[in-house]
Amino acid sequence: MGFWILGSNLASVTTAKAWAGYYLDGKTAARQQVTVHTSAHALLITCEDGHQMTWPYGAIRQTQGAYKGEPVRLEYGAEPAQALVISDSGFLYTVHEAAPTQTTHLHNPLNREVRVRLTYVAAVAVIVIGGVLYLWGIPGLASVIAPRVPVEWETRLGEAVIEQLAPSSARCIDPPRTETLDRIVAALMGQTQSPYTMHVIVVRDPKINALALPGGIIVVFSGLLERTETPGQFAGVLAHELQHILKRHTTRAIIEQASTSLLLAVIGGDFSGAMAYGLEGARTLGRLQYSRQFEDEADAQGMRMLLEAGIDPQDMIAFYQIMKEKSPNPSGGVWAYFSTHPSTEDRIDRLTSLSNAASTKPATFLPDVDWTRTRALCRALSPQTADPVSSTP
Amino acid sequence: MLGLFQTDSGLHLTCHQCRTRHRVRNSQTLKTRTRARCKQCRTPFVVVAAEAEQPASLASQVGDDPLETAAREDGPDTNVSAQTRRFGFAGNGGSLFGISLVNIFLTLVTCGIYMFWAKVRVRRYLFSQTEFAGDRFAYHGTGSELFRGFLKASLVFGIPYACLAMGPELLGMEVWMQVTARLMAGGLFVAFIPVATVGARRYRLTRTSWRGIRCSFVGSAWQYVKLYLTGATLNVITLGVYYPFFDARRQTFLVSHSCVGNQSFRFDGKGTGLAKDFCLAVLLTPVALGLNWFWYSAKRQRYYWERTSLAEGRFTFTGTGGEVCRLKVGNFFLLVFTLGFAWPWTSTRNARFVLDHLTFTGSADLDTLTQSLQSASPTGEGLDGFLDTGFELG
Repeated sequence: MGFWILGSNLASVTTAKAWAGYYLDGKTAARQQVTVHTSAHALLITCEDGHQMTWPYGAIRQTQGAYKGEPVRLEYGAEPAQALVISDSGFLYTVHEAAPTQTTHLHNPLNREVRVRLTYVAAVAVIVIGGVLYLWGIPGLASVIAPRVPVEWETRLGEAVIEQLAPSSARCIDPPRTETLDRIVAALMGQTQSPYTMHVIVVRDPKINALALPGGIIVVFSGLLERTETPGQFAGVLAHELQHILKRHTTRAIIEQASTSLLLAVIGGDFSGAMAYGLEGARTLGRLQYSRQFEDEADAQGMRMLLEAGIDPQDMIAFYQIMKEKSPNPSGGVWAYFSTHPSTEDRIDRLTSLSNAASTKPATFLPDVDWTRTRALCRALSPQTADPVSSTP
Repeated sequence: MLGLFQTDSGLHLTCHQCRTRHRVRNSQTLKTRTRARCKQCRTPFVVVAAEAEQPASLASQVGDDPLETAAREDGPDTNVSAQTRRFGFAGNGGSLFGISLVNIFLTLVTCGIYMFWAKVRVRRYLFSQTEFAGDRFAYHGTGSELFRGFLKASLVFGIPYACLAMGPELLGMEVWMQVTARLMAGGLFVAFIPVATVGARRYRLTRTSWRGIRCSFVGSAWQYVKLYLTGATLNVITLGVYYPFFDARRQTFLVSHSCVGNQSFRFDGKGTGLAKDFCLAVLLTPVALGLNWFWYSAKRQRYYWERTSLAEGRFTFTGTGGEVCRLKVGNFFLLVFTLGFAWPWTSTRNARFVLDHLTFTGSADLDTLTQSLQSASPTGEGLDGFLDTGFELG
């Protein structure tokens, strides 16, 4: 083919196919019908009036025509650029045949298959990277950053919400009995070094629940306190909540949620309109997953804390049993993914296996305390009505 | 005054609503601001400008209707022929999904930096699949421009906002300082909306071309900020009653400052045009659980497009409330059940809906559009002052 390479533009024009298209001069919107020929170095464009233009391949930019059905659009020159539009994408084959080395920057329809395959590779990579970030990357990041967040920030955050969760008017304060609760906290904390000052607040509220606020405040609803049968059972609940504070779960949750949002913003790229709902769904599932991890950690570390304090682990398990009877939650199957907490059954199983580590059965915890009286903190003070469980069947 | 033209037999006028042709009975009686109504559909006409050369420049008498409906058998219109040109969208969700998969991959690998280039690839695809009168649009934006716009916006608005909103609380400042800073942050945010709207619009239009002719936006950001803040304040004072008027004023500003080459879009919609529908929509909301807003949205789109014109042509939008409702409810479920992964399909559904229902009718000769210097500006940066530096967020 040496002849072909040596041949002049004119020679190749006569052999190559003519393509119909239209030309836009970048000055007006008028379309000019043109015929286009390929040569070894340039496109030759002939207008209807016979005027000819030569566009060297190297200076041509392709802006459209990389997708099926899209007309081929080539631009040339400085802005506002001249443009050539050819609706038959077969033109691209001819261009690549005419000058394979000079047209590598133009789309080659022959490579479409490769592009499709690369897209599949990208899809697999996205799933792998996303999964790794979701399962390890984000929780890992949170556990690295959280310990570096100043305790004062956490304390301030806790103080900002305490009035809402535990209004002063609803708090139950009776120094001798409240001190008993503080004794339990002290026993659990033992020699643990911590930057927090732990403090229990009991609120008059029939819900069976307890909350750990960042910075060291534990809010216990009277409904929960009154269901506990022994100081040891209450210690089990406190151990769990103390671990939420010590492990900085709230701070980590905030970091994890922020990074999940960021990750989804990267993937979704758009938060407008209905898209926000779809992403919110993904974000919530992520949040719930991380929340369950925190509950597991608080259970396991709480159990360890209980054992170190010499409290019978069976107390903690017994209280979970009570909770399970009082509020059976749908567990297992798909529902497991829509819950903030692991199912109570699973938690009891896990705690039981953890408690087996205890070698000897510990002594009764706080035998000198009148627990029936203490747990009735939010009731009237007369000793006759002290037992809330029997008075409210 | 659309569709006004002169033929041998005198001055003619075509109603842009019902396309009835009228002959001006006595053009000598016409004068600027003379009012008349279409005899067919009662659409009002106003004489906007009466030039000295035109025979139309004299006072009308009260009660004397200057219009006369042209007879159906009127001779063929030799001078001008109103032509309907269609918009269309040829893209498909599958291709867009492929693009977005590669985009997500590259964005993850580059820790988010590629996001701006990704946006360009998506827009380039969507614009290239959009056609008007047989020609595709083209998008000329670049990733580095978007990235620079983002940096600029973060520097001027993002960082000050974050500092004002969270700084005082984290530093444990006095309560009054926290409140003041919060208010300032809110003010900054409110001011940012109009600036970003104009910036994004200017950027997008200058990066859009049709048949090689760039669009442009010639409105000043400062004017829009004033319009927006006044309107928002009035809206609050009147408890939302002002909203349709506010909406129409914004639309007027944004549309009438947009151009294609040397031609400017015009918008003659008024707040009164939608006020009744808006009030009705508000009243129906509790009964219809808010679903009635789809019908309002369709009505608004129809009204706004019909009031938009370019050269000697006017737009028409035929989407109905039921169609908007089906589209949006469908999109909602698609996105929720796929956790957002269906967005390429919802995007193409949205584009197809708008473009399939949109037409441009009139005698405008599109070949006469010419490139204007304004629109050819390659970056849109540093044009007229600080606020007009082409922020690009969306």
